[in-house]
Amino acid sequence: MTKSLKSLWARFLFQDRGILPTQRLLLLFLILSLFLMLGSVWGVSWGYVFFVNGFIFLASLADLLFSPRKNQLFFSRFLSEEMERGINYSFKINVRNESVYPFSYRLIDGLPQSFDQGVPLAGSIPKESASTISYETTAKERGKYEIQKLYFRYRSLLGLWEKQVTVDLADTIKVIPDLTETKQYLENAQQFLLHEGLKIRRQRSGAGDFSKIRSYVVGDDPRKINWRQTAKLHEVMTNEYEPEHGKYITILIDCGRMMGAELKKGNRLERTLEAAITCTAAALQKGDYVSVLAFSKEIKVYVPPAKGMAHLQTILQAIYNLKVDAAESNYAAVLQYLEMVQKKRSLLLLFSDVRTFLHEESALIYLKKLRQRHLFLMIGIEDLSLQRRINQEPVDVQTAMLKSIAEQQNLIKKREKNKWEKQGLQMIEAKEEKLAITAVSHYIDIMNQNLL
Amino acid sequence: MKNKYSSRKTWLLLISVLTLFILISYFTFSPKPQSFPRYVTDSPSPTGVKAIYTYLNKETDVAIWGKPPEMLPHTTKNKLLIMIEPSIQLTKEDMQKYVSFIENGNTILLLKDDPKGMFDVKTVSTKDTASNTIFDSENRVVKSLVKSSHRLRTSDQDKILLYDHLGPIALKRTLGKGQLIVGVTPEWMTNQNILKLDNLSQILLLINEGNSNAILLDEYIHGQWNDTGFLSAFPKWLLLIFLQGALVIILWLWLKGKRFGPIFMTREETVRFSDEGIRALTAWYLKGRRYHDSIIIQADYVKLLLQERWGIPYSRQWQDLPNYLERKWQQIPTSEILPFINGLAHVLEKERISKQEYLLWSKKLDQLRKEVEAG
Repeated sequence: MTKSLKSLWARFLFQDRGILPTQRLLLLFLILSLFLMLGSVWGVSWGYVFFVNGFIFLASLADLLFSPRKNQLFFSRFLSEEMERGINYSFKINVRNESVYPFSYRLIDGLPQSFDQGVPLAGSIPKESASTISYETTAKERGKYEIQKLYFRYRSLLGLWEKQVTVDLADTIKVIPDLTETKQYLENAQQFLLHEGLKIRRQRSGAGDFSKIRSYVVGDDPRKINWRQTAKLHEVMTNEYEPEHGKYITILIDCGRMMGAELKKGNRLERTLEAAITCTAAALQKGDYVSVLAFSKEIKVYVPPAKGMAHLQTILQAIYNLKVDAAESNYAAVLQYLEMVQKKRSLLLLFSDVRTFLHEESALIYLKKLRQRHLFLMIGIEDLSLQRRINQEPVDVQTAMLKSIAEQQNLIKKREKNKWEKQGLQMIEAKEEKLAITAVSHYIDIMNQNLL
Repeated sequence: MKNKYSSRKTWLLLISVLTLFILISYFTFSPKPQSFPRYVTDSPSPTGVKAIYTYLNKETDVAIWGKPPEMLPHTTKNKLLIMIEPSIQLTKEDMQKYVSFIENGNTILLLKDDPKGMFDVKTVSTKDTASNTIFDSENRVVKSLVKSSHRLRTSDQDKILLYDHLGPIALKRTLGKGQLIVGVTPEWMTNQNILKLDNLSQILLLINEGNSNAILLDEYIHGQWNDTGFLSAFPKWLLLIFLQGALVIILWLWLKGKRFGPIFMTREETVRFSDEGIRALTAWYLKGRRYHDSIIIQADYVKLLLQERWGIPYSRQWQDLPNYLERKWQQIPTSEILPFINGLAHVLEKERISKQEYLLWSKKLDQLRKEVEAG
């Protein structure tokens, strides 16, 4: 479609620029009708009725001359190019009026659907001046968005007719995952994990790397006393060890069909990404190498392992635009790919749906082979709807059947999970709001136990 | 640049071809002369009656009546309805309406070649169609020609207005408070004959005989409907409400119909839920009436729960369970446990079960499930 045809099409759908009557004009005509109705008692002629209607209509059109022309208005938009999901941001729109007429306006910014905007903004702008309109918005879904247009309606102070302009004002916004949990973790890891009851300290004495020398306190292992330092400082000093670092963590993110399922807040993939980012931050802070692999039926993103906090940005930029695919995930292909790129022993952290994963016999067989080199941990989100269906009262055949199928699925899951956990493939299901915490605490646990 | 130029050329070519086409079609298709039915008020053809209508319109208050007879005004008096050669078949009800119109104090002037059957008028037909002398009610000679081969049959109350030696040509009859005037000479009214001989004066005579203050020319009898007449059925204030209402509604639609803001797809179209697989399976089971399979699943699930929560071995058959259940199951009396177990075992062994049985056992198993999960 050519450009002119496109704009014609938009006009046909009443989208583009144009004029429209206001409620005030409608009210005027209603009052006029009332007077004519009264007049009909004394017998006004039809000619008079048509003349009055026509005259008032044409005269009202003159109101259009008292508002600015569309080339006398100039617009610009200021926004933050990177937004976090679910967090309130303020956008600003600058409108410059170069005409000699003041006007009042209504405005809708052409934000994508997943942004909260609320009712049209309204206000007025005096003649020959500029004014800044600011509004707040929240993005509810991650992704890269293009804002194309700004919809603007304005009327003169008399306000019988309104003009509409559609301003081409292109901007790009990146909506990244909600990093609140990550920030919380980085600020105070122990506080973040408070309710999990995990201590972020070494568990097995003697194991791991040398960390530092500190004063001896009662309860420390006397074998760890650093005699040399004690002699030097005339105070009993002891060595402290912590788990080894510089290990490899591979985070696998499933973007398949089942990850699109709706949760209380966002969908599974949203939650998963936030948990993955938090895990990455935790691992990078400890000095581990982190690589990320996102997949559905094929590999979507692969970020090779690296360490240091700067790597978090790389990963974030690589995965913020991941979308759920309408395809079944191909676990086997991913594991095959992983075997190729990840030669060093690493912790494989798979974020996926446990039920779907268990249906994939081939992937599990592949995993058994992979397990000889890597440590595997799978984390899924508990399917509350399944449990809700099971707890439902069987009032009619429909619900009874639904309940039994849910029970069947639950049974299959339990059995399969049992079978594979016996083989050493660990699978956990966490509540949606606990996903990040569970993932991080399992990671710390594994590190503390020196399993890698 | 080249592209722009060529597109302009295409447009020019298109417009010129269109113009050529319009011009050719305009010159090649000259309009056909319009044909009118006979005795129609707005027909300027020799057989029409536009001349007399135009004349009357200038002289007196005359209107065209295009509505069926049931809409004739009941309350007015002294109206003259002129019916010239009705071409549609009028029903008995219609005639009744016309008669009651007359009886209310109005007049109908019926001009028809053979008025037999209308308003109980009777005629005789004559073979002799040669021209002869016509006399009026005062026996004066009238210079006119009668084409009709029918003559009216009169009764005692009728007043003969015109006659010749074959019989009466026009008569007046009193019906209720009004009058009926009948004539067999509709051709006097036509555009081609109206100015010939004494036709016009005789027509006016017949019209004046009605002694009315307003004249209606009936077009309904020619099968033509008049739209302007339709609107006149409504009072003016109502029409004014229609007009102003239409105006306001157009403005309101304009205000509401103009789109403000981007087009969104409803979120319901893209959201998916995790239980879609379960729902699909459910539909499949329901379609296949696999109630028995469903009961087996439910029993199996409860049995697994029994193992997890109450430590009852999963490998045991249901029949072996009463001893275990009696100790744990508090909600129902001990005497009901054995029938429950036996019933369940029986249901599980059956080939097929009915919907009612299915629902009953689903409920019973759910009761046990709740109990197990609670404790």
